[in-house]
Order: sequence, then C-alpha cells, then structure tokens
Amino acid sequence: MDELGDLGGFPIELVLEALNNLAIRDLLRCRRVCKTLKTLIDESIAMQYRVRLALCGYVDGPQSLDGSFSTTASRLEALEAHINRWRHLDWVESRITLPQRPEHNSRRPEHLLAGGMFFDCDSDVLTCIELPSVVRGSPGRIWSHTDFDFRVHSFVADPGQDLLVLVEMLDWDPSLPKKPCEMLVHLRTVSGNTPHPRALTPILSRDGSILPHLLGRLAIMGRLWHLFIEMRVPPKPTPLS
Amino acid sequence: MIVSLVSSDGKLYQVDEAVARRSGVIYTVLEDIGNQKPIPLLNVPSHVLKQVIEYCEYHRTDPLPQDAEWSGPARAELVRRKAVVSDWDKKFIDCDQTLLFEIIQAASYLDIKPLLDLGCKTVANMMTGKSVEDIRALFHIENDFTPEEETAMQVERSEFESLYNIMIKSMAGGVNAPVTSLPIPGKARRRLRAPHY
Repeated sequence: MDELGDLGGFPIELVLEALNNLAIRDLLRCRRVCKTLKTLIDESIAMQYRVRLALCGYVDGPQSLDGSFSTTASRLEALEAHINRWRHLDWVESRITLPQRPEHNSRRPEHLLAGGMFFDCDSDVLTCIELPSVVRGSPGRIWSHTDFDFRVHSFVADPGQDLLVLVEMLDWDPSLPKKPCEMLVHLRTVSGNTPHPRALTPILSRDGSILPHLLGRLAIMGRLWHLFIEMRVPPKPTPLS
Repeated sequence: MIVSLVSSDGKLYQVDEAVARRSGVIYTVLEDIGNQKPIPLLNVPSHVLKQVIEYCEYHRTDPLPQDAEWSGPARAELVRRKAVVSDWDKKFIDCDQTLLFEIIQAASYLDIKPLLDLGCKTVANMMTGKSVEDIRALFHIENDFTPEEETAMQVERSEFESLYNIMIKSMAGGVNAPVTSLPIPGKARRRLRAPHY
C-alpha cells in the first residue's frame, strides 16, 4: 500500500478505524484522495452502512431482541431492502382477521395504531394485535380483553409502557348522547388488562360532568403520564340583536 | 509488583504492574505466564514505548474498558459520542505526525484501546474540514486518478449533495413541510456550507 503515503505502513483496520471517526462529508471527501482510499471506503461495509444511513436521515438502531441484525453486514442488507421497498412501493403483505363483533353495539368501533400495535375497541371487547416485526422479533400476536366491568367509552394505549388508558362514562345512555356524564379514567396494562403497576391510582376521576359526545382526542405524551383530554367547548348562544 | 518491558531496540523499562496491565497483551501475558522474565515487545521501539508508558501511568486508575462496551457494531458509534478529549490527552497526543502514527500502531499492537481511539480521533481531526488536496499534502499521498475518474466522482458528489441536502432540509422542517421553501436553522446552514468540499 505504498500509494497511501504516510499511511502506507498502517494496517487496513487502523486506517478504517481513523476513517470511522470522520463525519460523513469528510469521509466522502477522503474517497477522492486516491484510489486506495476510494477502494477501502467503497468496499468497507461499515463505511457503506454509514453513508446509506446518512442519506436516509436514519441513525443506527439498537440490537434486536432475537439477535438478528447483529452484524453491520446484515444491517446494511436490511437497510438496502428497506430503501428498495419504499422506492418501488413493494409492501410485505400480511393479513389479520379481526374477531367477529357482537351485533348489539350501536357505537362505531374505535381503532388505534401505536407502537407497532393495532387496537380495535368495541365497548366491551378490546382486541390487541401485535404486528409482525423482524426488529422486535415478533411473528405477530393477537389477543382480546373482554373482562371489562364497565363500558369502554374511549381509549388510548402506549405499548412501549404497556399502558392502556380506558375512559368510562358513568350512566351513559346511547339514546341520550347529549346527557352530561361523570367520567372515570382507568390506567391498565395492555398485556393483561390489570391495573398498571406504575400508576399511583389506577382509576382517575374528575370533578363535575362532561358532555360525552364532545369528548375529543386522547393522547399519552411520553413518560410523564400526561393524559390530554381535548374538549370542544360548545359555543355560547349569542343573542341576536 | 514491578514488570520489566523490553523495547524492540533492547532498552529495559520497569513499570508498576497496574500500569503495565493497561495493555491487553501484557495483561494476558501476566495472567498466562506470570511475571517472571522481562517481556519483549518486538514491535515497539524505545522512543514510542516511553510515550505509551507515560500515557498508561497517567491513566493507571481509569476503569479498564469492558469487553462488551468496546466491541461489536455499536463501538464506532460509542467512540464518536465520547468525543470529549481531556486536556492532558490533547497535550499528550499533540506530537509530530510520525510519532503519532507510531503511537497508534503501538496502541494497536499492545491492545490499549483508549489510546488507540485517542490516536484515531486525532488523525480524523487532522482530516476534518480539509480539502482533497490538503489531505494529500498532509499524508504525502499522490493523486492517481485519471481525469475521467475525477469527472465521474464530481458527478457522484453532486448527486450525493443534492440528496443529502433534501434530506437535511426535510428533517429541519418536519415531515410534512415542503422541501423547497424551507429556511434551515442557522447552525445547520453553517454546517452545510463546506467551503472545501
């Protein structure tokens, strides 16, 4: 490797080690210095992985649970496959059939897609579907919670925290949707529908009644256990003059 | 306990065992053979060994890098993030290029990972922000590309630049923002303006 000048006496691993510390633009500039460096960078899987990641705006992820993608080569391959899927809109198809719904329900079922899971809630049946994922090492699972001692009015979930937030409206009557109700919020686990272990109080209540049909969106924001309840306030009737 | 080390040019150095054990190779020798005879270091000349011992003396109380932490694909990322170099290390590694390269090779041969990383980081710093010609001059490398190859690389470069800029702009403005009309925050813009690239 005389072409490498002062770096010529260096073993290839050490040159790569030094290049690995470079930012992406500096790395690509090194490619244009001489043929040996160009070949070295173009043929190094670690370097190619970095360039690919930079172009997609991605960062390297953690190890997967089942030990796949443990080498840079397998990560590069997965990334290339991912890029190609997006380029050619070549989806992996997997079909999941939802369990039959009871017919007595008058309300529309609610859906939620969060943290690699799909939830389907129909007042007294909550179906949890863990979508298949190579990275999470999950072939896909489906389970239902039916053991509710109340009617689920609305819900939100964060599978990352195993947190399921269920809203109950006391004395809610489908025939009188505009009747004010008292609201209870249940904090449970996604996996077992049991009170969440990290919740200080598994059931939160709220003073006063609200109008159920005006209940807006629910959201969990990170680890702070914040539950935002957006409520549209009915406009006050303005007297016509 | 004192460990005796012999450099490639036959000079004897006596160091504390704790200092000598910073080197993975000497650690293994001490574990396997024990501390009976002076250990010959055939690839390390005395002027480099002196420097390496100075480094190990200063860092003798540092925790030894755990094997898991210093290997595997996550390592490079870890090294990049541990970008803070102490003042002592900076002063230590601020030497002429020939000695720097010799220290890196010795650190690799003796398996002293923090020193190897310090050296590689320093080489990377020397190359950061430099033009292609500057890097050639720095390491005395000759340009062996034909004019056709140079042109082809220019095309590759502008392709990368446009893709990369689109990516950075869309990240600065969020997913839904239109790519063309985005103001880039000051810091990112300064980073984008690479005069030598």
